[in-house]
Amino acid sequence: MANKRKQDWAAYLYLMPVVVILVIFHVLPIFYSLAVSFYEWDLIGAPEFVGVHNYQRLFDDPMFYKSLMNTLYYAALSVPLSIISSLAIALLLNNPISAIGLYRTVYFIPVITSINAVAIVWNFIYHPDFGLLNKILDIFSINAQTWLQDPFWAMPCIIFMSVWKGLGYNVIIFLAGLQNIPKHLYEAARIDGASRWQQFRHITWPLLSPTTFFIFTISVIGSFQVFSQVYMMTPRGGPLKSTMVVVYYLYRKAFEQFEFGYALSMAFVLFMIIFACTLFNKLYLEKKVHYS
Amino acid sequence: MRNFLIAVFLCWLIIVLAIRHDDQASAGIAKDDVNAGGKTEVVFWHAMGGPLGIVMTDLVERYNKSQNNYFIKSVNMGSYDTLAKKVLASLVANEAPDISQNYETLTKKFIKHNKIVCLDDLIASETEDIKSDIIPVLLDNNTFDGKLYSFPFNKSVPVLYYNKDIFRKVGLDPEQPPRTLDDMVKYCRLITDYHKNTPGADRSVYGYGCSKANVWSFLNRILQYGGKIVSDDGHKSHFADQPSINALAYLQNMLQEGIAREGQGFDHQNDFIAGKCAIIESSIVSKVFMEGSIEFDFGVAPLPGYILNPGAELTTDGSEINRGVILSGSNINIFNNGDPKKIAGAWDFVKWFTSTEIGAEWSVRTTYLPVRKSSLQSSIIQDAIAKDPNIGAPYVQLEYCHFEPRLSVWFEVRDLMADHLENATLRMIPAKDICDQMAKDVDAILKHVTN
Repeated sequence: MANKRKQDWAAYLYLMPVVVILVIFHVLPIFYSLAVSFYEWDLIGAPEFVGVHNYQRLFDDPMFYKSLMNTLYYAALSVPLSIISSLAIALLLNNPISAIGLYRTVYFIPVITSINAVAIVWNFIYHPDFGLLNKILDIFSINAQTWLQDPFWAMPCIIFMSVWKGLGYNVIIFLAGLQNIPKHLYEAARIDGASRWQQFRHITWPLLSPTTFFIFTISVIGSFQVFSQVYMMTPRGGPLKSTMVVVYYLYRKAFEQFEFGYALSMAFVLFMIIFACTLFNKLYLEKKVHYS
Repeated sequence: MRNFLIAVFLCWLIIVLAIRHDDQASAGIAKDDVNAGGKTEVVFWHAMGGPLGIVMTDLVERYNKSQNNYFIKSVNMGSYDTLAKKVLASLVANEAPDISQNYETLTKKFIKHNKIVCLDDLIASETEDIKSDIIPVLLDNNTFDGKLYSFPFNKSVPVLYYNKDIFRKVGLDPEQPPRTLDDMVKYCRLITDYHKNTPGADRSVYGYGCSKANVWSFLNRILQYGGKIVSDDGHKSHFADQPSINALAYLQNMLQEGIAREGQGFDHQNDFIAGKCAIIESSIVSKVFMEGSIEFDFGVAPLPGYILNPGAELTTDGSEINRGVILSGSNINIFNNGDPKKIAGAWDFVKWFTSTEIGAEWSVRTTYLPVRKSSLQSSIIQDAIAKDPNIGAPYVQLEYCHFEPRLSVWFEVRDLMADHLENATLRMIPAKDICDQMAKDVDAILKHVTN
């Protein structure tokens, strides 16, 4: 018994560094921000208590709705695209081909590259006059577009770049998931005459579902928090605010217009939305996950 | 494979170390000075990068050597944006710098919460009458409720840059930049048509370039058309008035005719440098960033104006042309950190920096406006204009120079205006509709302003 308690203490001791960091840099700021969201504060003067005024204002703010819709648009397109493409690449990279290490590295490089550097390069690619994309389209005699300066294309451009950027991370996780699937299941299926599609549909997909579920949940959370690429590639939130997402909007309110209370109320509404989504994923979708 | 990777890594490491060594060598001079050695240290945060930063560092070093009481520790924050954020954060943490560059909107907030020193109190102890030597529009710009709270520091004006080689090629006089808005349309049409119709000419050359959703340019043009921006009490905008509609329609018409183009960010400057665009409107400060890459003969001119009473013949002095430009750039604040020695040091530095000679040198080297009238008349500026006439364009515009409304919500208003301007040229919605809507939206914000 005494030994057990000693072990507990050791565990707590080991946990302490990370708990301290989490409490100081995550938990406390979260509660502090929640408190500030009930105030009007420009950082310079004293905060002024306004109750739920910031939240009421939020519901009347057309730009908040627009930013919310843009965020949903981003999530709805980027999450499935990212999952489908990374799964496809993971399936290819799971084959015993030569120089496989090289391919795996190449797909992972964008993940470890700074998003700001990547955004600048993609700005060049999307440039209406000198951009690589328009030059390639020109070869096929397709009309040049203004991409990031076009209200219709700006968001898809950002989504495409983000999917490309995050691809490697998902591929690695899918690869790990694929390699956990026992080889003998495929052998048995082949002996029974299952086609490649049938093998995928009845072995790979169900047995990969814990991995897919994990990636889906993480991607949804990440897509609601999209910021850097919007900030870097479409200053001011894009043409006609077509890429104005919630986090960018609250950043502008806080750090450019110095309305910290209002910005924080936005952050909390976003937090509740992400929380609700994740809860839904956990309670509903996880039931469909096949844990072997 | 592994050996190859190790080799690549080693090469990379050597390159990084070599670059680092270089950096340290060039930073070496600055490092020696970090030691304040018994002087009162005064912390100065600014946003002067690139060629401007070099001049700033040079002047700060000279100030530090020029006297034995104070040591200015200057820190470049990279951009105005970052600077403003850092200043706010430092105020919350009670670690504000002693001096920083700031826009008027923030200055107003600082005054309200007693964060900065009133400069009238500092000027009062001076023997010299400094205030009467400050250029009037700059003095007004920094005076709040009759008191001087910030000091003009790096103010700039917009100018016209034009490609003299293109002017010559199409048969325009390179020494006669467009003086009126109508002239400019004619010039741009001539330049664009010439390049479209002349065999062998670069068909992509166009007349006028500017950046998208450019509020500054729109406001300048409203003044040129004889309009106003907001009412004196700050509760109503004048965007639904005819001058605003004209200002917007002017740009829309040029764009629709294909003699002007809008670009993202600094695209128009790049087009100008590349010789694709003959005339651009930009801040005079862009000159120091562009001139190293410009390989043709270029001119800098005051912005064109508008003849309010048509029918009058254009006289040679151009006095019937209604002109107007708006200041840009920032002022300087001295923070109230409670240490009179630091405040005295801060003021001493600001005074030195904006003095007749140093102010003139700063102006010539960076193209920012000098603060004092005596700087303008000094031989430093006059000689520089004689050597490079392009330097003179901002100074002549001081006569009809204004500043943007200093309202606490002005950043928000500007952002909203940019949205409307973007919509106006992207969808080519009639100028009147856009201006009406802009006025309505802006007034909704202004109505509640208490200031």
